[in-house]
Amino acid sequence: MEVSDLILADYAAANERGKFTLVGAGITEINAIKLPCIHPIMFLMVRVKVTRQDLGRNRFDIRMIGEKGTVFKAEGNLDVPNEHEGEQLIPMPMQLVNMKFDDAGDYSVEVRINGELKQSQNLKIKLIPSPQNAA
Amino acid sequence: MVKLHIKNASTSTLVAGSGECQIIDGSTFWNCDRREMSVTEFADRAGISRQAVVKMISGGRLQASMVGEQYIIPQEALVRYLRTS
Repeated sequence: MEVSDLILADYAAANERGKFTLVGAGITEINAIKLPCIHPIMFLMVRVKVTRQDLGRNRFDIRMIGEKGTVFKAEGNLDVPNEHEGEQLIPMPMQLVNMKFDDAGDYSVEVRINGELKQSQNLKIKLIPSPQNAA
Repeated sequence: MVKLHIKNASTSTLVAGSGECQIIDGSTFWNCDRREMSVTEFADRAGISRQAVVKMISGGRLQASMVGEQYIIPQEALVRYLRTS
């Protein structure tokens, strides 16, 4: 099982036929006027490529890691039934709410399947002057 | 159909390919000295609507600060509210 796409976006959705929609895709930086900051909502689109070799239970792990530790970690099982046929690309939109960033710097969203790192996406948190102080 | 179960998230199961969106609430991973919450969290814990929370903030009856475009409410404000309501 592979991760074909891992994209941070302002909004993501998918339908049952595997077609997905992204708005504001390609987030790589978040500007904060003070730290710690809480990003209220963003989406992570994970698209996995599933084949018959992936039948059964697969361990799915997604985490966001910063220079000083883990922002969040979610683990779960990805079950592929026996009747699954061929190669299938499955989009999985994930809504990330209340992501708290204590420090500026580099963060990374990592997806692991069965313990193996499949994809990662970098995210930089930048501290910028507030509009009031800049005047 | 591929089924995904996510632990440590605000929802437990995602059926991949169904078009459903899994919600991962980062606030569940904050360390124990987290002291802020969103309007929605406050509303859920206080048992009132989000609109009521926003109205209280606008009226100065509930302490909150802005992070980006969202209100962040300190934990102490919830405690005060529950004691007086």
